[in-house]
Amino acid sequence: MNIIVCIKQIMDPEIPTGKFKIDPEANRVIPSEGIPPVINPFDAQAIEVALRLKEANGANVTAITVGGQDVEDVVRYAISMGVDEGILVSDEAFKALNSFVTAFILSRAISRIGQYDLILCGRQAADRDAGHVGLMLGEMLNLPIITMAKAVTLSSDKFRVEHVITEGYQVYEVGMPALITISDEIGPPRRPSGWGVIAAAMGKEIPTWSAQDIGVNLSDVDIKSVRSETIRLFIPDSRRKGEVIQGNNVAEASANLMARLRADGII
Amino acid sequence: MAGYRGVLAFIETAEGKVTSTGREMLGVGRLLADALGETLDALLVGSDIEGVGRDVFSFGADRVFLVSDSLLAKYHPDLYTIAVSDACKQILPSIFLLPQDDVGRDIAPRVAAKLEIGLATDCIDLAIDPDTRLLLQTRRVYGGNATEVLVSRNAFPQLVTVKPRAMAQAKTDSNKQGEIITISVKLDASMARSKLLETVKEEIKGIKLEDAKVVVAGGRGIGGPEGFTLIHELAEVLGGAVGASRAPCDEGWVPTSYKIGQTGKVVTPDLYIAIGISGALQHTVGSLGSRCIVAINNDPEAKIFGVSDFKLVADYRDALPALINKYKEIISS
Amino acid sequence: MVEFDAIIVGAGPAGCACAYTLAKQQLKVLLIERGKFAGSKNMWGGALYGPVLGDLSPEFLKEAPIERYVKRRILSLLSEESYFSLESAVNNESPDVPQDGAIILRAKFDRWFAEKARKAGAILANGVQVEDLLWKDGSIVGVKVGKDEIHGSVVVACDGVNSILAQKAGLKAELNPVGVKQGVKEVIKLPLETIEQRFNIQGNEGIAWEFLGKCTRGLPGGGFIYTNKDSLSVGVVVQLNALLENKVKANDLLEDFKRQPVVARLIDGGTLVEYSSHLIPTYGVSSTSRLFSDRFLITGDAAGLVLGTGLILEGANFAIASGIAAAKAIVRAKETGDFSAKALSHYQRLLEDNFVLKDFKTFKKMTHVLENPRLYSTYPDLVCSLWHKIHTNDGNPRKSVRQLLKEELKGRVSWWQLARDLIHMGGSL
Ligand SMILES: Cc1cc2nc3c(=O)[nH]c(=O)nc-3n(C[C@H](O)[C@H](O)[C@H](O)COP(=O)(O)OP(=O)(O)OC[C@H]3O[C@@H](n4cnc5c(N)ncnc54)[C@H](O)[C@@H]3O)c2cc1C
Ligand SMILES: Cc1cc2nc3c(=O)[nH]c(=O)nc-3n(C[C@H](O)[C@H](O)[C@H](O)COP(=O)(O)OP(=O)(O)OC[C@H]3O[C@@H](n4cnc5c(N)ncnc54)[C@H](O)[C@@H]3O)c2cc1C
Ligand SMILES: Nc1ncnc2c1ncn2[C@@H]1O[C@H](COP(=O)(O)O)[C@@H](O)[C@H]1O
Repeated sequence: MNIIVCIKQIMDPEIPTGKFKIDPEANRVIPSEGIPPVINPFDAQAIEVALRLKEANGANVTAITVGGQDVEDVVRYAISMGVDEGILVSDEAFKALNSFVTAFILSRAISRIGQYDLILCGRQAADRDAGHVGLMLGEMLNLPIITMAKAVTLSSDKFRVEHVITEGYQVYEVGMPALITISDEIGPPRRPSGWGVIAAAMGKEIPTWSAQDIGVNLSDVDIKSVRSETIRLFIPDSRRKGEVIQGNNVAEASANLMARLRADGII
Repeated sequence: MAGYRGVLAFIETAEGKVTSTGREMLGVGRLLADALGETLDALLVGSDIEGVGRDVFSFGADRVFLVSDSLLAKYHPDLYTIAVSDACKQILPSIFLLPQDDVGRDIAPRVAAKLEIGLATDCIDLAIDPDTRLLLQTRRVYGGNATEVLVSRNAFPQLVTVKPRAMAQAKTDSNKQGEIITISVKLDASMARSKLLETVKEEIKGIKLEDAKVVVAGGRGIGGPEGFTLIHELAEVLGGAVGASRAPCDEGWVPTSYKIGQTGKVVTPDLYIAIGISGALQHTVGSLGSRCIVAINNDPEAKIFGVSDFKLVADYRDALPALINKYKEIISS
Repeated sequence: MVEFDAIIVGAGPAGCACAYTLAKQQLKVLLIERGKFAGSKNMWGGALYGPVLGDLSPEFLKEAPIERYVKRRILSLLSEESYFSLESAVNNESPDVPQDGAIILRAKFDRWFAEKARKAGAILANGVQVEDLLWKDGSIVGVKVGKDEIHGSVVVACDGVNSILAQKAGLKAELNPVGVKQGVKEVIKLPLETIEQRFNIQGNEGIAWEFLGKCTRGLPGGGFIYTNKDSLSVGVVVQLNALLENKVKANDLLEDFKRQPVVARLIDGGTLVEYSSHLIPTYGVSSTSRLFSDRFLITGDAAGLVLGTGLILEGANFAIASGIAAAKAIVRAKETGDFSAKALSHYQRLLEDNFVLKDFKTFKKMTHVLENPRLYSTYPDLVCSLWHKIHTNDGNPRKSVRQLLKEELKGRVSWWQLARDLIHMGGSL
């Protein structure tokens, strides 16, 4: 079985609020010094699913990312977790892409890989929190798609997928090839082992494909990129007045709190 | 863009009635349609849904488009994607709204890909730019650290999904009438390429989290499943529901359906009590719309205090019994 | 099985210098760092003194991420009411000679340095913590990381002050609070213009400012401020055993220090962007310290190569120099295929020949002088007060300096003690 996992390098979503800075003129985020970018956490979970499938059924797992030259680290990270191959689809023009174009480029790159039985994506990239690329990619490749998976298993060439819904989950069965997006209910992904990191750092060159290599015409990409445009980016103010509830001890303070909620008509 | 007119809202129904999310869609849809001076239309997809039309009109829709097919009786991602995108191609709205719920999240990006248009998911605000008449699409990004406003200039319809509980519900006008238009879409069973085997609903004790007037949420600070008994007790006396940050769900102390936040539920109760929760943005974005937020944490520096109306610095094990007693005392007097 | 020529544990200045030098010589080098990236867990005052970085490559002096160069050094003695300062300045128009001290932020510098080693051919593994040495038949054959065993001909411990590897190899006992200092510091962000204004500097000029006296509540140690490009490094360094004996937290001293009016004015309006705490091994290395064994070397802080005399705090330059020396010894060992203690003893000879161990001998006496508690309470008070009185005109006839000094000394120190301290200090220079 061949599994392809689409991964993205993002700014650490757990960055302390005080360090999150934007350039309001350019409508973009200023990367914070000293806080290195990370793999999108949902993509690490997608890799986890791929590796579990590999362990249970045998598989060759390839991680692929689209971005500028500076995203090779995310592919190395995937390798340190245990994926077999990594591919970097990289072009200066690929630095800031919208969902549609990213999916389009991925679809071309994956067609070049050729043989696959399963494509895994994260439920969303925790930078812009869109949740588009996986579904758009599946559509472009004309694949059946199951989103928001919290468990994926394989039996007699069919995937059994637990798809998270508001009130619980649904079980779907889907044949090969398919595209599945992974949700955080899958649980924390494995951390790379020491040897995994060293092997990834020592590992062979990561194949890098340019736009031309995958038959993407950059002017095509430009046309498609203006579908959605950010015209404003700002840091919202969600502070509240934060009144401290006093009391001689916790019991008294708690009683004061309850009395206050009552007096304010909240309960 | 020429040819694309009006606001179309994808409306879901349950037991023959428009859902609360549906009413929110029609609420914001009406404002947008009025700003444009164009019609507000509803798109209903399902089987035997003709009867629901009237209910939709009462929430302000001018026209109702129906895609009715026995294959659409139950949600299936492939079939719904085809039904919705084909309908959209026939209706040609200028703006197309879907909810960011189980269905909208699942199909909107596929519809966007099929129609080769842009998409903004999980919008918290929508407005019409009076100069360009384009839709201003506001959404949170970077886990809630920032907010962005998008426009789609040259790909129509302008497709967005709407965050549940972010928009006011439509007012009812039981006299409102409108036109019901049936749309036919070619579907056959083979188009469904996956099979739904079963639906497992997690049992919910008491009131649904999303509908509760009071939500008592516990975090990692609760320390284990036992601690949640106290959380449940407080919720029960207050007539509220129990929620959680992601940590207790990951730890398996509570079901994942308790999760509130960016990847969990959005709640907007009158009273939100966050207990043993540090206040990561990914959590607090799920409760921002609450009327009053109380935080209980034994760390006076906890970030959660910055987004709360009342702060109680305390160990929850001491605070909760006292809160429960005081409430009982208030009620009995 | 993969076998490295050298496994270098810790990508601080010592580890990076060692890995870079070895990789340049085409050796198969593994550089292991437990932080998410090199420098992510590291801190210091601080400035890098001396030309040692240039020994690796002259280009490095230009390329390294240097915040500012030390243009002025200030030493201030703080008392309750006032302070007294000595200031020296480099006279050249625009200092860019690293000899004067290059003010550096570790998170940027170490990362840059590790990247240099990687580009030179070293394998850099970030986010990996070495837990133990790997032994076979009584000899070190590599390191252990979790369940994984990694093999190498020689292991270089560049793992800093708390070096567990040096302990596991039996070259060092557990850290003794006597002879160790604790440093705590904050990085406080301020607009570049504000810093230039407040410190009267421009361009790449910077200030290294040390404080003695009130800020440490009389404990042996001091405070410091270094000007970065658009932030200040503000901290205190105090003898660890004194902290423990007096049950004082270094962090509280830092808060005291920040409240000193001189300091408060300098950091006013800034935002705290980073807090960190780190130990400094100032026990000093003597000729009896052994910095090598079979297939094993220790460098930098792990080896205790820090000059921490209170007025001088230098470690990074020694770390780099020792890293280079270790690499040279390994290259030689590789040529003969002999990694025994005897072969590696070349390392210690190299250190003795260059400035590293020489400096330690020179400053050995100084350490004793600086243990004198009067230096941190009595004398700063005395000097400030005396200076103040000399300059005060309160309408009464002025007293002679001698008379004032006598009054100041009363109840604080005897003439005899003062004389002894002065002789001592003089002797140690
Ligand atoms: C992409 C992404 C998406 C995410 N989505 C979500 C999401 O949807 N929802 C969500 O909740 N999280 C989400 N997270 C995780 C989020 O970032 C935080 O890690 C998580 O919310 C932390 O949970 P917590 O506050 O319960 O735990 P902690 O951060 O560990 O905080 C525990 C708190 O309990 C306090 N405490 C400890 N003991 C006591 C006591 N005895 N009494 C009182 N207080 C005590 C502590 O002081 C502390 O403040 C997401 C993260 C990422 C990266
Ligand atoms: C407050 C303060 C101010 C200072 N000011 C100055 C100054 O102005 N000038 C000066 O020259 N020196 C100064 N020093 C001293 C200087 O910082 C050190 O001497 C120097 O950093 C030593 O370098 P090193 O490479 O030996 O060790 P470190 O810089 O401590 O590096 C050790 C590295 O090893 C890693 N590591 C540790 N254990 C493991 C493990 N088990 N597995 C993997 N990796 C591991 C660590 O993460 C770290 O990156 C100061 C120190 C302090 C604390
Ligand atoms: N640049 C990219 N390269 C590879 N995969 C991506 C990229 N961007 C997004 N993805 C995949 O698509 C998912 C959803 O991303 P998004 O639509 O941006 O929220 C991610 O979790 C990844 O699996």
